[in-house]
Amino acid sequence: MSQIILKDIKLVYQIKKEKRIKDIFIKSRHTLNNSLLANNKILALKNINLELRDGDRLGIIGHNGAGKSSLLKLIAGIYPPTSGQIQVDGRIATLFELATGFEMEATGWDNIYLRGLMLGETPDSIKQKADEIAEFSELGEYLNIPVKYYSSGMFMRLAFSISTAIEPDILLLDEVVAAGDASFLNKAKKRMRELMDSVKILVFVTHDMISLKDFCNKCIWLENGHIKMEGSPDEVSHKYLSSIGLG
Amino acid sequence: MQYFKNIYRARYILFSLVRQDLKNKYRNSLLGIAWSLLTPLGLVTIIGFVFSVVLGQPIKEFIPFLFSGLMPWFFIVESASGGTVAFIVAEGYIKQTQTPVEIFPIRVSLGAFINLIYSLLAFFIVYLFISFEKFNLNMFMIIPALMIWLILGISLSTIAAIINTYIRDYAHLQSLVLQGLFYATPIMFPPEMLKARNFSWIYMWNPFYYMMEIIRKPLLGDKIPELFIWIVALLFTLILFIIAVILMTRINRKITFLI
Repeated sequence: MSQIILKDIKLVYQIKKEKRIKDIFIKSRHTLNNSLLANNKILALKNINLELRDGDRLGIIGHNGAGKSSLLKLIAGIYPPTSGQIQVDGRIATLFELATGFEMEATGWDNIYLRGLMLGETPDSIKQKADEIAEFSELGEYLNIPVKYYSSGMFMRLAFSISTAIEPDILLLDEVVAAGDASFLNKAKKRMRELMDSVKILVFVTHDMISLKDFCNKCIWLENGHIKMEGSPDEVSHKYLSSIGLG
Repeated sequence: MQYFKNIYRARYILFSLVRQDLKNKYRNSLLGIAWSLLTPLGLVTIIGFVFSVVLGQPIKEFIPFLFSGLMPWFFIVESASGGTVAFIVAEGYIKQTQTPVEIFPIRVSLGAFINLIYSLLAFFIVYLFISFEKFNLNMFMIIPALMIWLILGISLSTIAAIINTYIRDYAHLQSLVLQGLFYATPIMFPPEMLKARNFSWIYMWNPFYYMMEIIRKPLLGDKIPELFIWIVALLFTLILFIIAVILMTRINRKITFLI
């Protein structure tokens, strides 16, 4: 059984501001007193309580900067919570910012292997899946050259093909991932739908209320890092849209 | 221990990254991996030529002596300075996947260690020609010495990686300190040279002198250093390693915010 349990999660970003010796002596006009930013900190998430089990399909909506992506990365184990407890059981696949995290000098094949390992495959299992991944990516001969020569579309196709091939229990999805040209996009959409239906738990960040209602059976509305509303996709999206004057 | 568990969990990723680094290093070069042997050979020939012909040092002893000190030192420098950017260059992996971050500094020192092994092979080839009579069983003590050195390299690169991610000035400071240590440690010159002038405190208090002794003596087929020297080298390495493990365990994924 897969599950995601978040208890009283708080996430504070430490940010690095360009700081030089002279800044210590000369106060900048832009310095904000006593705000979180002045301490080089951003409060990204607070008081997050969430329990998801097999069959749950959670949609996350909210304005830009509300903490949606932070929440996904927290569940993915990329960001550590500042306080609170997090428990995630099940194999996670993530689909966001697809085109980073490649070994630029290595070939497409080597990158399939490496990224597969990073997503939790074993050397044997990823070797078995490599051909299928290669075929889906439609990169053909290009897989034999270093990925630094790839276009951004090719990167996305490769990343998408690997991430969707690992048969996850939990899928964390940020927005609609635009992957490649029109024909690939169709194929990708189809595959994503299959995956969204087949995984045990789906967490889906979206601005599109139609796909929210299509795919999700639960919904939260994030605002300034906390859960403003929780409920069915219909209710929550209705409230959300009316709050921004579109309801 | 979380540290060791995470490394074990990510061992295939680690090996694959190291293999990739080695491949990249000689990509598109005609001689490829042969450069791993040729570079140290060429370097020592040049320095050896200058010192023996120009400065009148006996070449038969000086070249092996120089070789056996410089190559391990290069390993330290490569681990420590490569370590400073270990997390920064792995940003994509760290922000995209759950890959345990412990492995990225290890990747650096493991790559440097494989280079060290190659250059020691080159050393033995040279040594076989010029001082065949010095080959003996003492040389097997290289194996424990190399183990200690590998742990030292991992510790140095891990510590450098963590500190430099927080304070980017560290990389510059460290390279200055390493430069200083290079001249203060008996690498290019024998410790006896300092002793003769009553400067022996310079190396007696320098842990890298003890590190140097445990690898150089077996490499040259000389008498194995006394137990005390091994103990100091081992203690120094262990202390650094414990610091590295504690820092890494405490900071771990928090570095995600800083790269």
